[in-house]
Amino acid sequence: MVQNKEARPNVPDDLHTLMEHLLDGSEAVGDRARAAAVLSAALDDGDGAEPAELGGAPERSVAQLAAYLDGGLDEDGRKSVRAVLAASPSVLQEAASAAAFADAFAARLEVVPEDLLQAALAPPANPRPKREIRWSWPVLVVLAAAAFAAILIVMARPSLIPDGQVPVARSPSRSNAGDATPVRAERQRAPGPVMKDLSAPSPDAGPTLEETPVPTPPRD
Amino acid sequence: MRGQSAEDRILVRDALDGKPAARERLNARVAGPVWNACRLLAGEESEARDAFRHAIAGIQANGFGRLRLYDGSSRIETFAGLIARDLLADRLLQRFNDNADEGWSAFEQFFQADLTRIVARRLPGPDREDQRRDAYQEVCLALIADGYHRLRAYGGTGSFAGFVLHTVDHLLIDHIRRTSPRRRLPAAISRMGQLEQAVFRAVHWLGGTDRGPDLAASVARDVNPPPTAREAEAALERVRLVLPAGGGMGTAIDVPLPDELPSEAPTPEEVVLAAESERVLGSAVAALRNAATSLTDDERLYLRIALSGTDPPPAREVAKLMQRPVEEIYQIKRQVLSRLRRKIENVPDVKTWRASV
Repeated sequence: MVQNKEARPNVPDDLHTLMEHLLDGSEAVGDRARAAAVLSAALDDGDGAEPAELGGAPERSVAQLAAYLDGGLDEDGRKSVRAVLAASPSVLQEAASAAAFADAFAARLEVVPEDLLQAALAPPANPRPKREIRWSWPVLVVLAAAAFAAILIVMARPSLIPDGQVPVARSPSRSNAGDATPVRAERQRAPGPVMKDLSAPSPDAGPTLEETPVPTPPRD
Repeated sequence: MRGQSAEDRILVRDALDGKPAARERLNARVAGPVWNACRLLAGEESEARDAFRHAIAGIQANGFGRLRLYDGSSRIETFAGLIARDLLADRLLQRFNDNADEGWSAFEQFFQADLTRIVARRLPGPDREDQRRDAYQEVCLALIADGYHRLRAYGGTGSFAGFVLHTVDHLLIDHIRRTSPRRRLPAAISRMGQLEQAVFRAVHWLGGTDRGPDLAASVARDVNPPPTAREAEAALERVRLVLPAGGGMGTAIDVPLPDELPSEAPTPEEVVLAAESERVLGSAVAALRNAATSLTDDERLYLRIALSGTDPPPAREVAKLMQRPVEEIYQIKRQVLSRLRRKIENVPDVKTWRASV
């Protein structure tokens, strides 16, 4: 701490000397480690809610930090990053760490092992990224209109299934085609309009919907 | 950098558009920095190989989706290296959540360079090698303690690395506060009772009043049962009897107590100086808090960086972290000192001192 040998301390001078010596690294501060630690903690304690990260999102944070450290931001960009660093000790720690890390790996000139490089160069197995559907209001309006039109069409046509009948799966063992759904089985047997035929059973069509037993789910 | 970065930007766009040749070239471009990042963060080659596969897979995922924000304003090497670091930090967190004990060695390896750097900043110098080793161990033990509860406190807000490093710095500050030389009681006082010691601290260290009722109130928390005003005054009298004349606050003492030699206990002069230092530090904290609200972002950032270590970092290092020219750093330092000097005038200790002279 400040080694004041005078009989009576000069408080403002001592204080100023302490800060000055801490900031320029000169001598005369006895326990500098403690003084810097205490003042650093005091600076943190005085902070309110700190911004969590640069750019507001982890991916954006990395991009902004890389650009900042490489000097690629304009003055406004640099200012906004400095504001976050000034307000958030954890982001400042992250930035200092990233700066040291970037220096360290830039100085490292190890060659990637050949087998790893070849594996990395192989085209990734995953396909192109799916396009994200933007649920903006025009899209929703179009979808709602389409759904409404579909409902109107269905309601305007005669019922395809007799009242009280449930379209259940045909027993596979009794199906000629081995297809479980009655519609697809009919489609394979008769090339005509399938929907229409469903309401009038043909002689070779196997059991009617009324005759088809409802399969019970297998019990474990 | 600009020309190369512009080319890299086009390369990234083409890769994002699914062009096979661009993807292959991009893979080749980022493999080097990613490998070097993995070697730094994962240590052993086998671990680094595993980390590399993970990082490359993360970069290639969703058609190189992690590179979608690359706009050429940084070198692709920096960008890819930091992305790799981020991906490995996520994996580390996952491993830690799955099995904290197994995740710890990977954790320590990942943060080793940062821990060493932070400890070295706070405890610099060749004569502090032992202190640094102790501090490193202490911080690690504190992170492990109570089922890693400090690390488990990470709530997912902000980066995991930032959270960890901030926690580490605070643990280190606590360690320094605990272990740095503190004011020790003079041997004569340390041999006295609890009440006398409390009275000595209240009057001689904290500059408290020697009036019975106030003195009794000020030591009531330290003494059980709390003393009466008369008892406190009597204790103070006993303290005065064992202290040399002039042993009060702010007065240098040249003659140590004979019975304290060759004891390791501090001399009365050391006690007085230490008390003064503590008081100055307390006032500095008040001044800093007072000033902090009026500092500009740059001044505040400068102060944070300067106080992040025992010795202020070289100006070029501050300049790099602040992305400002070195000469501006000196200017900011002068501004900060000037502002602090003005704020110091408002500190209660300074006001009291001004009134007394």
